[in-house]
Amino acid sequence: MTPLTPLSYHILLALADEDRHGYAILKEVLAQSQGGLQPGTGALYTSIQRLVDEGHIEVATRRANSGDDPRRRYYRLTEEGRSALAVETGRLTELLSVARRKRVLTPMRPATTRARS
Amino acid sequence: MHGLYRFLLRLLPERMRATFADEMEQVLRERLHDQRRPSFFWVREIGGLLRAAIAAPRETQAFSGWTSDIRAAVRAHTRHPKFPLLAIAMLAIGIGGCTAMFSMLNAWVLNPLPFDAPDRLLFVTTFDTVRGWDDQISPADLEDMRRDPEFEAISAWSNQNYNVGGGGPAEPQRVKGARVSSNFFRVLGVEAVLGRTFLAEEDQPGAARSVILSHEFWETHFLGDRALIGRTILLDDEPVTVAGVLPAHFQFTLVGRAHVYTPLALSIAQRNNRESRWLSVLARTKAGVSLVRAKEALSALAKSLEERYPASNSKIGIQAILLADEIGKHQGNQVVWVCFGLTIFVLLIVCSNVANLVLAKSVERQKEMAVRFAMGASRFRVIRQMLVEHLVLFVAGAAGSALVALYITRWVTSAIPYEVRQYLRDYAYFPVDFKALLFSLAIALLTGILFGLAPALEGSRADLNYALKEGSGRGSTGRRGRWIRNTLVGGEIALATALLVAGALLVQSMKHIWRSDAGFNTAGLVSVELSLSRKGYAEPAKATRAIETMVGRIGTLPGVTSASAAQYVPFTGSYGGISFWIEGRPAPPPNEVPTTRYNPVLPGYFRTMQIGLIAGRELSEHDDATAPRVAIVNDVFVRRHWPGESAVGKRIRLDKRDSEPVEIVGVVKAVKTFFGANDTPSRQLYVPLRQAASRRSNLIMRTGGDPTGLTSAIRSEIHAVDGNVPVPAIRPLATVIEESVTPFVVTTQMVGAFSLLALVLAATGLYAVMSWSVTQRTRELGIRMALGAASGDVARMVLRRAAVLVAVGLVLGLGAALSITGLLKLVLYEVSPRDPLVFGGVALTLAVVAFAASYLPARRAARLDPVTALRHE
Repeated sequence: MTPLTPLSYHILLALADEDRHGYAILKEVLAQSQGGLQPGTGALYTSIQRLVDEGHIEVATRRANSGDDPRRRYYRLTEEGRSALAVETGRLTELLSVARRKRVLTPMRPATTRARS
Repeated sequence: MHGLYRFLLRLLPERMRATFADEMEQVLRERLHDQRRPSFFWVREIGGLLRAAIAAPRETQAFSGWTSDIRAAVRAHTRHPKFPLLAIAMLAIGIGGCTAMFSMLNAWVLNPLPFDAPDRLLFVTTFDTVRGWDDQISPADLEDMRRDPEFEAISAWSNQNYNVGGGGPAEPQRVKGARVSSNFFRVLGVEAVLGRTFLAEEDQPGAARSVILSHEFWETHFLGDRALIGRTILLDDEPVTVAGVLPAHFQFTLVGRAHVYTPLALSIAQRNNRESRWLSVLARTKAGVSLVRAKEALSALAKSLEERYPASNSKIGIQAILLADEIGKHQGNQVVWVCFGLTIFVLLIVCSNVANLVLAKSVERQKEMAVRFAMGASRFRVIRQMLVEHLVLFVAGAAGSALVALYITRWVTSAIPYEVRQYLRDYAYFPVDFKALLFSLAIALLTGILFGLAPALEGSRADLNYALKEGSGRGSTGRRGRWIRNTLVGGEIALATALLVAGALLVQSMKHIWRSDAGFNTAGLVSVELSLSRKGYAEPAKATRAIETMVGRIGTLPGVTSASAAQYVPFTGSYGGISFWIEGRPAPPPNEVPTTRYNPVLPGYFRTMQIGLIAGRELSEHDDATAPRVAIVNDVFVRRHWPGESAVGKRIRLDKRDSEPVEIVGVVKAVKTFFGANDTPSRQLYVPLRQAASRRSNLIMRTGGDPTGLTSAIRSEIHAVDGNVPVPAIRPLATVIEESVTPFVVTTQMVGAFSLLALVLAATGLYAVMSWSVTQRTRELGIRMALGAASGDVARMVLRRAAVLVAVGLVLGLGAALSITGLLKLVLYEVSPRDPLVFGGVALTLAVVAFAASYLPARRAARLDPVTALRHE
């Protein structure tokens, strides 16, 4: 399996806890990456199309939040997508532990993993 | 911008577009809300969309050819970025400039006025066939006009300023407004958004006074209070009832940014007055009545009025023009047309330059094409590849031109001062017209395809063997290519010449305006218009005394060197006029009585304005209401009526034939009251303000340095004398004068920029053609040098070819300029549209620039090493 692109990974991650529509995905990606990733609308939908093609995500039949605009399309993680996310996360965790062992992270830059709701 | 984005969405693969296009647009709209810099966001989004269009996953292979072509094109362009960047920049400027100008034309000129059936709205005036000037309409004539069966309704208005509020702790405010007949808004087809417009019974003398407010004024001054309708507010110190609020978009440019409308409510005496013409008239014709028929009806009416009322109406005609045309005259539609016409020139130059570049590029690549054919590529495939390469350039150019257009439209709006903007439609805001963008893009695209594909088509037909052997693409198209390119460059030089002439003429007139002598020293002069209330100053003489006190107090302020007052100040708008009779001369017939500009002033006016005294004395404190009446005239007046004589001691009668005689005690230099066509001063006459007291006056003071620091001190001195008088913004006269010439400045800057751009583009084109021709002839030049030609001969040969091109272009361009500069007459000031200096200067400039552009290729030719040249492929 080829590694996911950073944007694809973030999209899957954004859908991990709840189904979201396009704009909500975008905002979640911005929040997750703390502004490090600022995809244009074109790039966002290119990735979404690719993830749909690969069967990682699908259009949700059930609305997550009934108070939302009914015209919006919601996206949901498929089982396949969830496992791809898990595999990729595992890979990243391994990489991270290797990096930690090699002390790549200098003490000058403390990790900024603030908890986000 | 949304339109462009939606258009570009079509570049996405069909499947993706069908699923996501609407959603993408919606997301884009939502994101746009959060952007602090929308233009930056748009650039990123459009760039991103184009990238996505290339990178998007595609299901079938049907389109993969196109995608790979686009990728190949982008790669090819980024490998040699000089040519595509130049082409994109030129396209962006040419198309963007043209789009901006068309958007302006469309918004201000072509777009119908936002009123009901605007083609049936006429602006009616009288004209004096003897004196040759236009005038407004008298109330009695208006009543007769209303009986004419060709018109559905006729309304009238008169501009007026009002003092609003006051009486409480808040300072009253001076606002623009108009007195209107009760049917004024109905004639325009405008309804009040709150309350109502005027009723016929409100337009009667003695009726309870009511007022209609503009939406803006209601929002800012009354905080959008919906309960205001039916309540009373203070207007010129009198309570009036608020009847309604106009829609936010309502704008009647002929009254400026008017905020307050009151009924005309003419008294019986006023209504029967036929002599004083002071109403502006707006008529609505019945449906189906043509402008010609309406004009005929008015002429017939004028004839019958002449017969019935010879004393007031003899030799007075009545004329009408479309309201849109009248508004166009004021907002300078001609200027807009001129600018638009000139940008078309720029677009043509850009097109021929791009064609030139594309042509050169294609000819260079004929060998590559030949190789492809030899390898078995289909003709369609090769042409498609070329087409895609050009399309990529034009799409990038289009994105750039949208930004250029956006920038120019913003600049135009910001370059026009607020005071001028109020007389322009939508206060000079106008959107970029994307239909115009697509139209100019289509023209440029057509040129690009035409000139880009011609060599490809020809190449595909050419003898492969020959083309491959010939090597550097000097095959069968060489000669024809050169001919086309020479024609293009010649045309460019001609267009640039014509544009430069226009630009130089405008710059010349700008210089004349700056150098123009107003007849007084404008530096440090400040004026403030005051209108003292009728209530506080029942006697106008009392108002004059208050003005004198203010002048006295302001004169002692540190920084103020001199202060005075006058009823009118040059360049600030209206200026008074009055008829006069010279004592001891036979009285002329009633309609040939001469008139003069007229201005009641305080003593010290000439000293403060620094208007030179030629003969006699200035006005003094002793020239008051009890003293014999005196006046001062200007030198034009003297030359006209007492040529070669002294006017001092002569007596005239003002306003009425039997009025008290006035003795002329001094002669001063003439001053201009505006800058523009026909601004040569006419007769001017000054009388002491004390002998012609008025509640409306302008304070004038001269300050030593920057006048802006004194405004609050001046304001408090005025309020120390009268706490109730509204003080409008205090503005230096120099600023006011600058604003009055804005149309000149904006046109000059725009045309100047465009003509410089044209010069640069034409020089680039010439350089490209000459250096291309040197490259093409390298081997030939090498042979010549090997056979003994000196390097100077070679350089001369190249220069001679350039000289022919430039000469032909110049002659054509100067000829074209001669025939079109007449159109500029209306925006030119003291410069003939055929000024020989300008024409000569432009020809010289162009020749020098052209020489510089062809010198570099000529030098390259002269420095050729014959050995390398002979080996050159």
